[in-house]
Amino acid sequence: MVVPQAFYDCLAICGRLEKSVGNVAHGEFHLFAYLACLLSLYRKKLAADWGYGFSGTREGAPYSMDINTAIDYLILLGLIEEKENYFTLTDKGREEYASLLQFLTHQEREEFIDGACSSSLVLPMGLIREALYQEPELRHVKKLKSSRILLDELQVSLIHEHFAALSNAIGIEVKDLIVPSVVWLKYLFQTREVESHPDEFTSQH
Amino acid sequence: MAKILSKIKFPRIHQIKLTNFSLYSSSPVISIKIPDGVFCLTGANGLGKSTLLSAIHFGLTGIVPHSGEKFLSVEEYYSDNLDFSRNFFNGRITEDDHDLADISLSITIGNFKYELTRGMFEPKELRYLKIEDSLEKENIFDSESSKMSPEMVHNEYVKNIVLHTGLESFSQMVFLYSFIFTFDERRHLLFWDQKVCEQALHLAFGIDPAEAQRADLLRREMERAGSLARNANWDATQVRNQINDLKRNINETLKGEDPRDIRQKYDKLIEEEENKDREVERIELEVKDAMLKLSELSAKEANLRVSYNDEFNNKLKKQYRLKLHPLIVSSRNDGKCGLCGSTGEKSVKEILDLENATSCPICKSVIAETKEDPKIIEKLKKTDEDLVKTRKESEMVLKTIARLNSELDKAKAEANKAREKINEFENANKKALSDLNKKRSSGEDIDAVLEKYRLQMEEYLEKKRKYYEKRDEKQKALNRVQKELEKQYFSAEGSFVPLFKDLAFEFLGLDLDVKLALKGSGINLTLEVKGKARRQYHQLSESQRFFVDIALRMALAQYISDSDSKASLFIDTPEGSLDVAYESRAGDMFAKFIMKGFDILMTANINSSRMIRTLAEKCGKKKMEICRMTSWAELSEVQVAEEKLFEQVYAEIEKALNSKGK
Repeated sequence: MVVPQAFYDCLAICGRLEKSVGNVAHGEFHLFAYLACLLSLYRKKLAADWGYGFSGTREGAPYSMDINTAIDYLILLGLIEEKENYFTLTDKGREEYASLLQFLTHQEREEFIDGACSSSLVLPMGLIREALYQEPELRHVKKLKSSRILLDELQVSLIHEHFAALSNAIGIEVKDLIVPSVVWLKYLFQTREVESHPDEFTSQH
Repeated sequence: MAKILSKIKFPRIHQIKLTNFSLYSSSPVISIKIPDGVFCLTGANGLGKSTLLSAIHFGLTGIVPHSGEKFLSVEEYYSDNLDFSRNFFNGRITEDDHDLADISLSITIGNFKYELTRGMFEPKELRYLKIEDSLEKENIFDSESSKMSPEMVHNEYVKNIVLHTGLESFSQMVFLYSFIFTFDERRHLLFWDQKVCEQALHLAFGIDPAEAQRADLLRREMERAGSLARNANWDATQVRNQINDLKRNINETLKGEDPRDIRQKYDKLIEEEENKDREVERIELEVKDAMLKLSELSAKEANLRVSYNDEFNNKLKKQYRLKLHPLIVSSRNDGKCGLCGSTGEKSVKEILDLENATSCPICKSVIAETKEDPKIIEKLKKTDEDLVKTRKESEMVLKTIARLNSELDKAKAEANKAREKINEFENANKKALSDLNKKRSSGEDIDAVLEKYRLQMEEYLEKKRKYYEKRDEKQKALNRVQKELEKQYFSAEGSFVPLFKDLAFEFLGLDLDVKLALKGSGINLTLEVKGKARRQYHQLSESQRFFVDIALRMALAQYISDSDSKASLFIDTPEGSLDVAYESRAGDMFAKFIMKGFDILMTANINSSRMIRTLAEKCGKKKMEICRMTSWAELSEVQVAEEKLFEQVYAEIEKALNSKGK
């Protein structure tokens, strides 16, 4: 079974990253889907409503089984094609994306996918990856050196604290999520060497 | 000789604007120009026609007429109805729009132009108010430059309304709009409610509105004095019983040091606690309902998610093509079988042939290529919409639960306080009783205790006498005012009664008469049909009663209004169960009122009623406008399915409107 939201997110991520960086690596589907999910939490949505879940790998990278399945289906249906481990949309894939965009369930996700992927317009991909690995949950998983389910109740409350500080730092109600996305990623990147507490964010901003 | 009555100026509504009024979900902002004559709002059942009239009423007065509120006096009706009105739009307006929803009205009273905006939960506040004197071209008030709080702006509105209408108080305006100029689903009838009718008569025929207010106060004071006298009598009887008990059981324990005070105070505290507990129970019930709603919505959402996933996968299945399978693709590109590694022309040909296969080469399942079925997309789209709608509803209910929980905490704290007060009182009373018992057991002051009771009883009897005196005095004063009213009525009868008879004849086709009756308890109007009094309900059919009562309101509106600023009537789906002949006559009666330069804001169901068609024929497009509500809110499946029937009725009404003057 394909999870519709994961299927749609992969198409949307592929289409956007293709425009900004040319193509998409397998891990980048997971990375940007996770970043988009975090941005939905920033907008006070529930993690349970995202449609699919994530786990953190031993290396501290986000991973979703449903994203993986979706990528397989996209290949099977000829909607994305692979060249040397990088993916691009096919013409059929572009048509499918436009067709799926008519559904409200998908339209609601555009804001978050766009906020996540737009960060690749202003930040290098390496920085984004490094930064997101510093996200409190993923950093915690990496320290444990074992995989864990992400975004459980306790972890979500921690992320909300982070976002509350971020929201205060930005100061105004932002319409476009690219602003909190980039500010947060930059902040995370700055803290990559510091293995201490997330409270630093508040004190720095 | 009766004095000449000064007429009252009433607001004329020109424009209504509703913002964030969630009941009309398809139209977040509704702006309506109210034309001269009849403004008739039509729509299918359940679309919220009556609510619009209530909203306009609320915008104008801050009050929504309440059927459960017993009329005691003009002032009390206004103050007692504020809480009901504050909560009336709960449920009609969603949590998201709770603080945003408002109504704006543009009205004129004589040469004064008012523009105002009232939040739908703010009966004593105004968000915006501008008053101009169009004659003097003078700006009288503008809330934007005044920096006043919304409460103060409302007070400013009240002050000016009273001044410009010529009424004595804003409560009188609320009364007139709630009981005389509005005929709504309460189906309240003036002819058959003596207290309301009397107050209406004072306002319509009294020397001035101050007299009406005086009569209203006198009646209430008289009733209160009577009630206090009865209470004092009851208290005296209680004390008399105490004395008798004490005499009978002189050696038994005295119950209570001061029976009257203790009973009254204690009862009051108990009543207070019960009220607080009832409030807690009410909110708990609301929380329970909201939780139930949330669990229903969650279950619905979970089911919809499963359906959405299934339908989505079903859609993908139809898109599957064997030639796109990575194994086939790599076999074709590499020129060798991806499964067993065989190479050669034959193997490649076999693989290429597979690209057009209609069944799976391994399990033989049919995978014939089919075009995407539009029905699948349609179904998916519907599930998708339902899913998003259900999720939004859940979010709304969650907000409601959060609000209710906070209200519940406050209510519980208040209930605890009330209980503490009772405990304190009980402790204090125990002490008093114990002191009294000590005195009694030592044989001390028994006569003094009895004497004290005797004095107390006399005091109560004296109070009773004084209260009855006061009641009689108020009754006399009221009688004088009523006599004055009677005189005024007789001098006005010549011009008022024909107004009523004319309208009523138009409807019933019978010669009706209306007479003033002065009874011991007050003043009332009686209706006579062919010389026989029809005071009792059963003597007229229900629908006849409605329209005869509306005729009375129209006659009162004509009589009471200043010719420069006439009253408008609010009439909510009045047809009832009239037969076709009377429906037509009711239309004639309304048209007659309109032709005299008055306005009616009414609602009507879209049915085959002759009333609207007759009214349309008589008024024509110049004096009547039909406003269709169909685009304001979502229609039910039945309504959508039967839209053609609605169209037929609209076409008939349109034809009737166009027939005037042909």
